Amino acid sequence: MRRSGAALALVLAVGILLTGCAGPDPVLVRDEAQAVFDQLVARTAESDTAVVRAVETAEPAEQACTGDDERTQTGLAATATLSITATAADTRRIRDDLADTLDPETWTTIHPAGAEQVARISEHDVVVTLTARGPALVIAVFTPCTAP
Amino acid sequence: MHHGDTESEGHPHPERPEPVTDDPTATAGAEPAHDAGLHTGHAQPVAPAVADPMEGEDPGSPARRSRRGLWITLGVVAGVLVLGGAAAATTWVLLDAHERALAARTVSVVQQEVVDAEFTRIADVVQRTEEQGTAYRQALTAWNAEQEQAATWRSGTTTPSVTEGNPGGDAMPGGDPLGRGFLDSIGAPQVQLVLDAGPDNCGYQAGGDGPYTLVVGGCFDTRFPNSVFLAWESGTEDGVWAIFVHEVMHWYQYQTYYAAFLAADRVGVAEDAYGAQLEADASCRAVYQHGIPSWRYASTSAPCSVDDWYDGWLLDHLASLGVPVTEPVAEDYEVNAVVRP
Repeated sequence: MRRSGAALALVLAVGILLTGCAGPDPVLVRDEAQAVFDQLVARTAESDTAVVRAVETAEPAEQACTGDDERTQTGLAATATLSITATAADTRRIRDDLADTLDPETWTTIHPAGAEQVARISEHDVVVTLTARGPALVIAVFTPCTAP
Repeated sequence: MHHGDTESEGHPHPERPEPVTDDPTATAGAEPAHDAGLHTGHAQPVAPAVADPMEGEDPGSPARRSRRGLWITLGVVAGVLVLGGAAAATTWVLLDAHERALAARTVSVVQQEVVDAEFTRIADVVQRTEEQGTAYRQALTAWNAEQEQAATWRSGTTTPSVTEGNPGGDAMPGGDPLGRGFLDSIGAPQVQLVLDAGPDNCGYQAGGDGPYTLVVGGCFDTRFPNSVFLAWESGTEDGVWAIFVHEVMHWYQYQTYYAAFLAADRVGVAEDAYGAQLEADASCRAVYQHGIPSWRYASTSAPCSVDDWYDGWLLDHLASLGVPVTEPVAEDYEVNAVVRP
């Protein structure tokens, strides 16, 4: 009985330690970023062609992280250009609808770079930005900075 | 053996051994233990203040082992609960701190540079989209305004007053003296024939008044949306019906194309640029749709000079001059093709 109690306590303690210290697998994080990017692009592509004309994705790009020569992050970006009949309000509505597809249990709101932007972060530090500017929307997803 | 000076009402355990006394005269078991408190003033063996239930038991007895096991189990359970609670609380604190740390994050400069670069890449498309959007909205607004203006004009009821009587009389030659039958047959019951040789009859006035000239002339004036003027001199009766139908065809043109004429004015195409075609279209419509011989117009100011005339010919001519003749369509103004990944 004592041994089993001790074992249980040990398991709990290890669990606590892992909760605080363990880092996610970079491959899984990259997959998470790609998955949410694909989801957002697909949702945008489903929009009425009378509203959203072109949805185009760029090649994934790797950028050096600020103040760190070694660590890099991967950025996934897509642009959506709207119809000439769309208004700025339409662009904002599409942006907000996209943001609403992100489960708030998984995605936490963070400070955007500007009023035209909505930004979310996952518990694995994957960052999503949705930026509406005029008749265009930029969807960008970033992996966290990692060492090579 | 004495256990202090406390008198107790404790009940000795039945299995408990009899207390041992120093008094040799005392008779073991002579007095029941529960009466001990009543006998003060002499030495009396008493039970301990708080009886230890374990005391006096055989340490190896099954009951004693059972109770010990119970206590151990309770202790372990309590420990597990305490540890579990601590773990849960710690986890919650860590997660909450993590959540707050995440919420405090800001989109980094590097990340925003990527976003800005995308907007820079498509800046030209965005600018042209905005310009085309403005052009489309302006065109649509103008189109709607012209349609509304045309509708208002068509509903006008202004009628002219005859200023100078028709020298040819009060009725056209033939079986339809006021053109009523023809007008009704083409869906123009509201149109009135006005026999007037005065200034409002532009066609008759243009015919001249020389001593060797006989004139038959008519006019459609947009000031009077549902009136056509006609006048003729004696000797021209054979040509009266053709001129009447020609003028009614002008009425039809304006009923149908008035918005296009307004659009032509909007885009800088003056009536002079399509005046001859307007006249030819009226005569050809009379020829092709209402059976007037073409030669009837050959010597007039409005000959049917269009080979293979068709309904819509005039609009096509206006369009060829750059006049918008159809409602603006957004697709025609779009900058981007529809693209999906």
